[in-house]
Amino acid sequence: MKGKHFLILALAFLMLVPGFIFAQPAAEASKASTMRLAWWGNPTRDERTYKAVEMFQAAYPEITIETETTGWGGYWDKMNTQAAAGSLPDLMQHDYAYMLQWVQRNQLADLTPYVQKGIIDLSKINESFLSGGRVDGKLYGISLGTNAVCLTYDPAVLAKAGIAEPDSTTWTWADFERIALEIYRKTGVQTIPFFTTDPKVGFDNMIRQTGKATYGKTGLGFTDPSVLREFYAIQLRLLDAGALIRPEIAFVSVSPEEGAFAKGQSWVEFIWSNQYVSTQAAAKRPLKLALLPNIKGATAKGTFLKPSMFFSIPASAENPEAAAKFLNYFLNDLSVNDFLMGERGVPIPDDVREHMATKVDTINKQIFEYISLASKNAGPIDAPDPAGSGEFLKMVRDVTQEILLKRVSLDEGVSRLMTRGNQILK
Amino acid sequence: MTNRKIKHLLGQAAFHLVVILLAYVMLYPILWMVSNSFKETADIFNTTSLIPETFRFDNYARGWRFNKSVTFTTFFYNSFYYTVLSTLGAVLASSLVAYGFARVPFRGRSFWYGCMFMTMMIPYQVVMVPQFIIFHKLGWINSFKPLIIPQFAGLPFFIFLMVQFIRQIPYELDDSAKIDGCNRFSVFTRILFPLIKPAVITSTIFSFYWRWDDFLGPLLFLNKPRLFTVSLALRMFSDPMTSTDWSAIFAMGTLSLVPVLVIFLIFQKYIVQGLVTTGLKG
Amino acid sequence: MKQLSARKRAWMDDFSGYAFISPWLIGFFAFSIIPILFSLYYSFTKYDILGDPVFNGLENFRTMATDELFWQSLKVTFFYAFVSVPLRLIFAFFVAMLFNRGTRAIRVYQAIYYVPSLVGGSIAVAVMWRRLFMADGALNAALAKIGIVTDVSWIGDPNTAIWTLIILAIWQFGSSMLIFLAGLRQIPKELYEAASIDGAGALRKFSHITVPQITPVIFFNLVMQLINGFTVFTQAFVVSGGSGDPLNSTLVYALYLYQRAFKYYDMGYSSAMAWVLVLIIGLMTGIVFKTSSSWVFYEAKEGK
Repeated sequence: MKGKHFLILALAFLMLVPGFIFAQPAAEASKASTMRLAWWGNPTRDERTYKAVEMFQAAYPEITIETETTGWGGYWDKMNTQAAAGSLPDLMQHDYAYMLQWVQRNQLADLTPYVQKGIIDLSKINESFLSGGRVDGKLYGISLGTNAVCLTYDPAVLAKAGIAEPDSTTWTWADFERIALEIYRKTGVQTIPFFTTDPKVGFDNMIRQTGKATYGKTGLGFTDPSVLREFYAIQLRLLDAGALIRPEIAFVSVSPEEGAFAKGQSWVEFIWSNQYVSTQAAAKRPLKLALLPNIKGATAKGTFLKPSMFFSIPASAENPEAAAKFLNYFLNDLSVNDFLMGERGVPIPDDVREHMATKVDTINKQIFEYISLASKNAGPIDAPDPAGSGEFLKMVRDVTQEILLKRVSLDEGVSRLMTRGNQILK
Repeated sequence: MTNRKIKHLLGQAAFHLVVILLAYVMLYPILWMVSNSFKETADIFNTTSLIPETFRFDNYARGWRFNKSVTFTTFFYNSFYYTVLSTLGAVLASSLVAYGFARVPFRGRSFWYGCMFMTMMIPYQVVMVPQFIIFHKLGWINSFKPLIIPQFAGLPFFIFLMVQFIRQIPYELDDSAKIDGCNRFSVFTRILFPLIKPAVITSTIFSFYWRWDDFLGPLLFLNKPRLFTVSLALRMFSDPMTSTDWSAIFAMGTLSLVPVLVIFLIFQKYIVQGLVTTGLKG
Repeated sequence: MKQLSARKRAWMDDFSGYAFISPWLIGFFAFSIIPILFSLYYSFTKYDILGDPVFNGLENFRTMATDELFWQSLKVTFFYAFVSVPLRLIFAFFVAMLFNRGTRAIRVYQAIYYVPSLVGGSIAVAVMWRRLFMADGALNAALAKIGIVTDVSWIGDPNTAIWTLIILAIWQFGSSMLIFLAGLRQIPKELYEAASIDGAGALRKFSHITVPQITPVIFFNLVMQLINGFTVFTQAFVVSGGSGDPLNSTLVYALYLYQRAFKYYDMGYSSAMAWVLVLIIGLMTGIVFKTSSSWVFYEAKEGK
């Protein structure tokens, strides 16, 4: 009997005590007016989006928002898993490259009904900004801003090395290489490998300059690997000179704050223009933006304007109405945009953009100026990514590391990228 | 004589020195995390001292608030909910099943007992995909059902442990109870269950640990932040590309270890016993 | 109770026996047998969960033969299991030998050495582990203190990344240590005394009494831990950031299987991979059992 009492006591301790503390299971606690919001981000974006969520909940107290955020790398893994489970959030950040694939799998809802009902107000938005989210006349996503690929550099390092700042509309990769080597020689500051999260963004720009595209209708969109080869050859030459940050350090995913650029180990970082806000916040020193260098004998423009940071409502959303309300607030409300400060790109509603222009903010001013510079030097955007691009990008990142770690020779690596790319995208 | 004594003392001292040094190395990672949970993030990667210059308890407050929309109150609650219900189910069911296997001479007993052992050898990966699909079709995703309900079938490991235990209890006890008019079920609840207390406690503790640390299950079946367990929340909190507040992350990491360590301190004896009985027998 | 006829009694036993094991029996069918059959079927299909499974024969297994990542994950997993499990057992065994004496402080040491096993499975530790081995992590800081200045990124270099996982596994030797310690204490004292009378030295006692007496315990733990080693997931998932980075050097089998299923929607392929895993584990266990007679010493049991 004594043993029995002890047992009951022990069980009570382990099991009932927590049961008393918390009265009701969370599984049932979620209300009908709760909506889930997911985005990929960085510390700056997360902070501003949390603020926007807070403001929205103050304005619409009947709606509770649950947020989910991860870095770009983990985001699509997570969303794919949720899509398989049929439990996507109510509103998700989306990307131009993947949207078509998602629409073809019937995973996104048409936003037109919400526009017709007046929940989402598009009256102040020029149609040209919306076309990126349209498939067959239906609207599957609204872009929060326009973006372009760029590089950002530390002018102080250039000054210290006695190098004139480049004219980014005319400079070439040869110029870039010369500057990188000279900076290293004079200051010891290195160069970061190009686009470590997604090297394809880097060579895509170079391939576009030859008038071709990375993706073809089937397989790769280019057959001559010489530009691709050059993309890696530059980095290898810098590596051999000691001027490139070692790949085993550069390819470890970290937040912008912990990255080599923020720590001052690299004079340059390769980003999308909207990432400039977080990069600047992490670096805590004046930076400048530049177009990517030109290749020798370029016949077309590598840069393009990308409608970015789409927000879409999945077809399986449980609370699409609340999601639409939030999207509208996020897009059009002036006071919330005072906090967002164009972190996701230059806003698309005319009034918001004009309102933002009145704000004296050097960082935003730089981005505005860069986007207008890029638009003058941009070619048309390529078609969205084909199916299989997820696997392709993973392979590209692997091969890039293999080349830079010198596990394969340059030629072998490039030919592997070509053959495997054609296999995966067939 | 004195020489031998000195030699013995020196040997002892060397032994303790080596063992303490090794213990320090062993505990260093944990101490490092705990110490960092009190430091400022900026100091974590700049200083090596394990003793923070100033103790910053606001790391804990900041970590607990998480992203403000869902806090660690929810995550700890979910973890307890999952852990406690699963453990209750696993232990009670296992003891019932163990009694059946150990004491009732029904036909097919050894066949089913053998089947149970087979399932212990099958890796979870085999049933992972079909289970996911079945639970998906049942609409159980984003609830604790796929995680808790299977536990109510009992765990082969615990069943085995309890069968071993029951077999050591003399049959005379059952028989005398039967003479007193007990049926099998009341023999089990009144006589045997109290007697297998050590095995029950051991199973309870192990179940608690496993469920508390479980990651793959919640990762597969729980997608909404409101349903996240502490493990999942820590993983989301420490996303490599977006995390910067490492002292808050380490603060929550430290807290997540507290229940595990507390139970260890209280039930040390049973843990060792459980490890030994299951690790020694083939 | 009245005496019942033997047949009725047997029937009663059957009834109550199945009643008692019914929770497990139902669970066995619902959560094991049915999923296992499904899994077997899926392994011969192409199935993306959104549509219906399409039978494609042995196609999944053929794809595996040329899938570089599949072979890579096999390589990583074998390396991980065959390095970490023996090292952990050897380490545990020697520490157990060290502790196999009567000092009072031993109990405290045991508890301390067991703590890593206790917390090793948690996400908190995996998260911390990643930070420990980064270029600016605690390991390099500690190395710098003893005069070795390095900025190696242990988790970023494909040659060293898997070792961070192996060290994480070895670090948790505490539970094996406790098991061995209990095993050592079960060895009859008389055996040692008899050996002493025969004039055997410490080394001889170790090799002729201790090792043979403890091998059954080692053997059992070897099998169980190899199985666990082949199915490792969580640590690799968290330490590598879910990707098997760098360069797939931490892409363990279970992680690749998970990616195939839930990232690329290849339910058929991942089911096929699961069955290959069963084959591998079965084969390994079989080999260990087959060879065990030559190195495992079993006490002569009564009636043998």
